[in-house]
Parts: sequence; C-alpha cells; structure tokens
Amino acid sequence: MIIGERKPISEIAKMLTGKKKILLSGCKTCVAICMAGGEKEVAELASALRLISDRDNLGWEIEENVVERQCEKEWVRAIEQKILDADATVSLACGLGCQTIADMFPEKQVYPGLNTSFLGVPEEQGVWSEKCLACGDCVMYYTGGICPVARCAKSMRNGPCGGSSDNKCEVNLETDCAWAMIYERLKLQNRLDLMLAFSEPKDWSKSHSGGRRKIVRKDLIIQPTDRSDTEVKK
Amino acid sequence: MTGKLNIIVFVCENHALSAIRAASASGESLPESFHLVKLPCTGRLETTQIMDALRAGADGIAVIGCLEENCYHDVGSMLARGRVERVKEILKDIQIEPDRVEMFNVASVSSSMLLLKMRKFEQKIGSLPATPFKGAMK
Repeated sequence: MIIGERKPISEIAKMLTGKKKILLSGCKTCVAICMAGGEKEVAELASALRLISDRDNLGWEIEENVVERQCEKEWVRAIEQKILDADATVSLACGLGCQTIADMFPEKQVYPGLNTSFLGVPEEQGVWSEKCLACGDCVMYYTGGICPVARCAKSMRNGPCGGSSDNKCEVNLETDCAWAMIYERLKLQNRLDLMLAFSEPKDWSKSHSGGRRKIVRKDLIIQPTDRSDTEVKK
Repeated sequence: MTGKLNIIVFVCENHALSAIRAASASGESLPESFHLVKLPCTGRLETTQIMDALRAGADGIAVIGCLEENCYHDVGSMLARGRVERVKEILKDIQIEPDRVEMFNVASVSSSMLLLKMRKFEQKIGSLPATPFKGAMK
C-alpha cells in the first residue's frame, strides 16, 4: 500500500495563512491503514488547527471529511460542493488523492497534508517498511519473492555489494541485507542455482527514470468502434 | 499564572479510580482544581479529546491509568501513553506548552503517591503562563 506521514501541523498551518473556510479531506484506503490520513487523523488535525485558530484569533472554519478513495474521481465528485465552498482543501490522502482533487478543480487551492513516503507494508502495529519501488519490471521470480530493487540500498542485481556484513546493510545496520535474505530464501527453496544466473543490467526506462508512466488497457476503454474505413460509399 | 486552575483528569475506572476512592476513604482528596472524567480504560482516550479539553479552557490535562505491567485491559495504559506523547509532540510543534499534558500510572493501593504526584502536577501547571484558550471552562 501507499505509506504516508502527516506533515508537521505548523507547516500545514502556514499554508492556510489568510484562509477562512478550510476543508480537511482524508481517504479511507491506504493512508487510513497506515494511520496517516484516515478519519481519526483528520479529526486530530482538525483539533490541532482549531487550537491554533482560537489562540491566534484566525477564525478558521474547519470542516472534516473522509472519502472512500481520494484517487478516484467518482468518490471525489461526491464532495464537490464542499471543495467548491472551501477557500482551501487540505488533502490527507497520498499525492494521488491530492492531485485528483487539484486536477478536478483547478481553480481551487488544494494543499498536501501528508508526505507520501513509499510503497510498503505494515510490519507490526505502528511500523511500516518499504518493499516495492514500482520500477516497472518485477524480478522476484529469480529472487525468492524478495525485491532487491527496493530492499537493497543500491538496488544490486547480481548478489550483495562489499558492504554486506553479518547479513546487515552497510547503509543502515538495522536493515537486513536483501541479498543475504534472497540467498537464505533460495536455499530454503532448493533454488540456489538462481544465485549464479546472471542478470542483465536493469532497464530503468520502465521506472520513473523513463519519465511519467501510463498504462492503457484498450479492452477496458468504452468508446464506439471506428467504422470510417468500412463505410459504404454512396 | 494566578486565579483558579482547571485541570481535567482522564481517569480509568479500574486501578486509577480505586486509588482515588481509597484516598477519599482515608480523608484525603484530589485538589479542587481537578475535574474527573471517568473512562472504562485510558486506552479509549483519543488525542482529539485531550486537545479539545485544552481548547475548552483546561489549564492542564492529567491522564491516570493502571500500571503498564498490571493494566486491567492489558495494553490500555500503553496506548494512552503513546497518545499523550503524540499530543505533546503536536503541542510542541504548534507552540503550546507540552507540559500541560501528562500521563500517570498508579496501582490501586498507591493513593498517597498519586495525591503527591497530582499536587506536584498542579504546582507545575500553576507555574505556566495562563492558557490562551477561553472555552467553555472559562
């Protein structure tokens, strides 16, 4: 899921300088699960902003709202009037939710309340870790289901670097070396021969390095068939 | 600050409230400035409730739960501690004295110690500048 972290409230308050009607909009999906932008976090931010408003006599009118998925236009459309009525909307969704509102209502000001951090998983209550870089070319068949691109600090493709020591990463000694984990996993699966298989240099053009990516599924697009070339000429 | 203090005490109905009742039974009680809000467990307390109480004009907030190793609901006191710490961070970020909020843990038999801690907390709150919030409590 997408993992985010709320911005410092002082930073959010600064963005709201001079505004009166403020909509706080959260999302019930990823950022709710990582406890950064769901219903509770929207309420918490609202309470803190009301403290600032009362103390500094700012007169902020703060409305709280949480949509099912802020990255989908259908759900955002349901709060269209609230967005139009507000002087500013603070999105507590990830960068996708924030941009969905901003693109749908270009004349309205939408501010990010979260820093979108990474694609990760919950490890235990209160702990999330990165496991995917969305590089566009998944190699986990060869690596025992462990991603060396995201979980190795150097995204090594053919075994560990010289900084791997006692199964730990030299970049952060609390982080397990991805290639040490891959070795153990492949050994467990009796597939250690894959450790000797050479991986070609990665094609980074499929990642963000190749520019903004887009996926088009023509079978899902609803549009009339183009019959211009089969039309009977009179 | 001068004048009457208002301190909201979020207290769990288990060991913490037992300690307060034991104090009353022995002729002692919490200072007048303390206003009790009973909770089934301090783990039920939300960060918003603490901040909303400050906004309503409370000079200080005390959260009293069971000892962490002997919590009636296992992890309630730990959850409450985490939320109190989170509120303190938020208050620091927005330049409101984080010392206005404090977590206390108590065994049901430690009423004297609790009263001592509460009096010290009252003194600390009294030494802070007046709260800028003039909510329902003011």
